Amino acid sequence: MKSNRNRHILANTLAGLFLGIGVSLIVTLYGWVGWSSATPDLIIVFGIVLGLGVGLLPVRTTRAPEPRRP
Amino acid sequence: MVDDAPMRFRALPGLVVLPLVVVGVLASPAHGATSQGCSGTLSSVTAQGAPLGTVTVPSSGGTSKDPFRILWGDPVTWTGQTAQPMTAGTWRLTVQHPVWLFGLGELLSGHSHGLNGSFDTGQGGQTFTNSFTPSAIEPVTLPGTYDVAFAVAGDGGVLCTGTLSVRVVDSPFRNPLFWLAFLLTVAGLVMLFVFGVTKLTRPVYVRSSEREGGR
Repeated sequence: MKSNRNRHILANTLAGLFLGIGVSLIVTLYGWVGWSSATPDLIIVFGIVLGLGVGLLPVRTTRAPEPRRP
Repeated sequence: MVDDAPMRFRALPGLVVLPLVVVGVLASPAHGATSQGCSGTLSSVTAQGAPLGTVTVPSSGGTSKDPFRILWGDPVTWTGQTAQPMTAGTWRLTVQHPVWLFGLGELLSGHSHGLNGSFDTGQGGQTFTNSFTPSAIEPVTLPGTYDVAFAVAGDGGVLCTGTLSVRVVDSPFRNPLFWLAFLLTVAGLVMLFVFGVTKLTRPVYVRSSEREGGR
């Protein structure tokens, strides 16, 4: 169970990081946000923060059903 | 059956607010095109010669919300008027707050130091027309919105300066950064929906003893 939860956290953190960098880079390339000296750094920071945010979202836990006794 | 539904929504407002805050930080202030010592008009065309963008300086146009649109490889024509007559001079365009990505060589070669040129009308005048191509030799372009400054210095001490926002509307598909961003986005979505996210949609089952031990 623990490894399952860790797998979720790792996958979500990387997903948030990739999505944050990817989407904000596309938004900038299309000109919706301007290029400035701080833009590339902010794109990376946004990816990291979004990754940590998604990764550290509390996992939805549900009590597993008790095994039936014969 | 126990479900921590309220808990899983605790961080969601933050994830909604965060992108708005970051986009707000990234967005440039919406200043109009400014100029000192002169006034004028810039216009750009497409490869087929169709009008692409026009802006008058100074004016409320040329903002980050309504930038002057250009293509790297197609000509930009400008017409300027000065209060004092001048015969010859130099002009210079620079990108303000240049991005360190400009250092990637051919991505935007030369533009970190700006574009410049000279003109000589042969006779003194107060109205000038000229045109230039941002760059016809760029193998790879970096589209997006930039804050640009221009300066024209003429004989007799005539000086004209100004700023405006310019959007390079070349297709992003010709830029490797776009494909990197595309791959990252696809990879992120795959990881989110195939391997991860499921923390929002599919619960993680824990035994009673594990839940109690974790508290």
